Amino acid sequence: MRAWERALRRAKLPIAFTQGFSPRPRIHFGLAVPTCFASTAEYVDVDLIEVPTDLASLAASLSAVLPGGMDVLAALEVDTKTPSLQSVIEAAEYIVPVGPGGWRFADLEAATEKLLAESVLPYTVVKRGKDVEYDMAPGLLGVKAVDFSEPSGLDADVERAIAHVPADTWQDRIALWCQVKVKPRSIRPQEILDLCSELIGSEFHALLSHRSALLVTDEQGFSEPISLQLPNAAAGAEVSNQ
Amino acid sequence: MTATQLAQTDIWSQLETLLPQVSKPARYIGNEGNIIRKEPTAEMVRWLLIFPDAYEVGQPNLGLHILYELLNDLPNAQAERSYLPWPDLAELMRANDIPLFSVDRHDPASDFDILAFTFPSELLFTNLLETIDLAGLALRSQDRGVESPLVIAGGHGVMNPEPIAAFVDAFVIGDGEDVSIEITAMYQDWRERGGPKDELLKNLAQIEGVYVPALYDVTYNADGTIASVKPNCEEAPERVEKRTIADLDALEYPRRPLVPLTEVVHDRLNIEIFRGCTRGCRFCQAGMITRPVRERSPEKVRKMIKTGLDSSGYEDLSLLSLSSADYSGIEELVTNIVDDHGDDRVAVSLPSLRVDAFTVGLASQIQRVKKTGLTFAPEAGTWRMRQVINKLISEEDLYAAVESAYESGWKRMKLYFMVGLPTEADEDVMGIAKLGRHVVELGKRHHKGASATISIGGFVPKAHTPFQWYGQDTIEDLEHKIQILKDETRRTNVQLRWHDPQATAAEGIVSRGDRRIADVIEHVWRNGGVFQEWREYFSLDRWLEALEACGLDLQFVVYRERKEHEIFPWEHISAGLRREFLWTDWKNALEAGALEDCRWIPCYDCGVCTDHGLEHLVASTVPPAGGSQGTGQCMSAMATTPAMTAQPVRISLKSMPNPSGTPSVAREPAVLT
Repeated sequence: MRAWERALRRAKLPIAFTQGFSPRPRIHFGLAVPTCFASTAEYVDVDLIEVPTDLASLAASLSAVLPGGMDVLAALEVDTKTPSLQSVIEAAEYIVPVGPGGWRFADLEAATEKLLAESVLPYTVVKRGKDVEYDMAPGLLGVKAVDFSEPSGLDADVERAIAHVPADTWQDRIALWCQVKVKPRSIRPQEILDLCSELIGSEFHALLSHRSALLVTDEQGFSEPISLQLPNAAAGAEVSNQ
Repeated sequence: MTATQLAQTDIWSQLETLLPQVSKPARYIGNEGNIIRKEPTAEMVRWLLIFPDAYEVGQPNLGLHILYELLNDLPNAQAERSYLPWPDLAELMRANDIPLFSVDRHDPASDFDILAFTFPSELLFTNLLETIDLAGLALRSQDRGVESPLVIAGGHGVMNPEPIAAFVDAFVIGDGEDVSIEITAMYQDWRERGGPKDELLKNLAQIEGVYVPALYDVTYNADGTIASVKPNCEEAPERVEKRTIADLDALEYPRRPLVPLTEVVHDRLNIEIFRGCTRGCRFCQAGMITRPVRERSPEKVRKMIKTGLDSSGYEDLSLLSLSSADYSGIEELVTNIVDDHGDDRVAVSLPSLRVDAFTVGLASQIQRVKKTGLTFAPEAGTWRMRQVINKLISEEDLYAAVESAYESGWKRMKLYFMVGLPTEADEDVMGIAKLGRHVVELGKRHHKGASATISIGGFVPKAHTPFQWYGQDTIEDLEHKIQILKDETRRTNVQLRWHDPQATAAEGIVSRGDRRIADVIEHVWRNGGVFQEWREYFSLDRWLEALEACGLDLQFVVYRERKEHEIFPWEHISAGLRREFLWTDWKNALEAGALEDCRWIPCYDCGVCTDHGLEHLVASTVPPAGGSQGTGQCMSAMATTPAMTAQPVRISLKSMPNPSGTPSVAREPAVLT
């Protein structure tokens, strides 16, 4: 948030500010990315007083002022009446290398198959010091075990998810790919791995969690908020005119 | 952001999988705005600048920002940064054989030529050992050879370097900017010749402001006091004089301040408007060791603000100094800054404010954000006590400041005080509560729910101050005084906060200790005593055990009043102040004698200017407007030097010799009731 505020100041964009005692720039994110997660699929609404004439080059100029590793892939104008990202984002996709080392792909695959066969998946989280039980089953839209030592055998979903990540991140690793609902509660990949561990009695651990998509629902089912036709883009910024 | 796009080193790839397991992982990723990505070469001298505390405390440190930019601007140097990993990560690093690393490129500490520590305070000394150990080096200087990076240290916390002399190869005393350039050149030259470490140390000792402890021998008397401190080779000077940057305008850093990605303690653009302070508060080490006053010109300040805001995107700006309202023409400067940047919603703040109505008016003028609380530091509860410490704030000044603050819309006042000051009696302590209660009463006329917070610190006498002879209050004395305040503020709207007297005692051990304290520090560290400034990790028991194991005690190291001619552990280190001046000022203090600010009165010859060819550099010889400057009189009407032009002028008062070294005691201020 701060990084964005300061980058927008450096870029000298005509940002709209909130009213009130201590005005803040009007910036709204889709879904907070948890600490230590990498992501190639973040969206942000930035309210501007006027739309920059050169919208096409905005992505590049914002990338230049953002901290290294944060790149804006696309920016487009949306109507001010468009519902907020937060209200429309329904699901998220993750791809997660799994450790500790030594686990065979077959173990993880067996665990995910078992998981998908269950109709109820009770999972306990600690909320304000109290144990609260959730059923994870309705939130799991898709779960797959991935074997990167067989790169030719990757399915289309996984290929798309890792399109923007350097290959050595995955090299020879096994991984979990999943699409999960973020409402009423955002399911995290480690929680799925916890369930897998429980089901087959061994321990799976997310080495690095990578968010590869945020999804909204439309007529065709789930899709990304900016359907990018750009050759090398999986994330973007929305700019709305106040 | 894909984390894998960050620096790709062996350490990073290992670290990346550990970070989800530790608290606040953003401490370790670097990648801040304006980070400098300079590829090191074999010819460059590589500096690792280390702040030995948590990232969020160390990241905003201005000194570190200055050196980081300055060294990276040199063709023959490359600099990166490191902070002490929190104990959760330190444990994982040890378990996984990961050494201390830079946050910039995540290179191991041992890849660097120089590990340079900054110590803003002395309780961080055990963190020095933790850092050296995590870096994989031998703790003691004598056990490290040429293959090991050079360990140097600077900052206010090493004005008495002796407690950590055994661990550090060389200290930088005073302003570090020029010295670090000279060290770089000398190191490069030594490395090319391939000499032994001993030769490097002797060369470094030739640089003014560099202290190499291995070149000095200390002998002790039977009673445990120091008998002598003597150089053991001709390369080492008898006394190491501090370095002083005479002209701040020539030093234009920071230009591109590092902008953190995570929450840190002071997250804003910091611009120094002057160094040094001659208010002469006797407890204040910073004011004593940074003399004389050196102002940066308003034009340069404005230019640096423009550059800094543009390059950082910061929305907050802070004008730093030891007492920012004392800057000549502060009103004009602030007005100009607001004119320059007001449209960009930039908020200006002035930390370290004087206590008077003028200053509050100034703060009110520039305060953009909600007026929640305002902090004043009268430091002591009675006028007599404030004369002893020479913090000359009259009650009239304080109450006028508080009135003005309430009128301007502030609702909560915070007041800083110390207990454990020389000559302090119970009634002085009760005076603190009385002031607090009166402040609340004043507030109730303006706001129904007015309240005041009183923060109490325990006084620790510091080296190079008039109070260096003073026997620090015992833990029991401090507890007694805090109890008085608890009783006196019960059932009032005065909230009381206090610093743990046990931590005050530990700070006493490391502040005025001699070389034998090295063993105490090592003992404390070996028993888990890191992050001693953090309550959750502090325990006095470790310190008491360590003292006992080393045959020392609190009585000798902390509580004992020093005799007039006792040789201090820091006797061979000079902050420019004459010992006779400090002693006379100490005697004067005990009689509650006040001493005025020498920016605006004739020189009383503390030694800094007269002995070192330095001068105050101020834009005006007229004291700033507003308040009585604590003297109970209107200072601006009695300027002793003729009015000057608005341009900076050097005021030389060398023509006023004071051969006896006796300070000219200021006229007795009227006592206000």
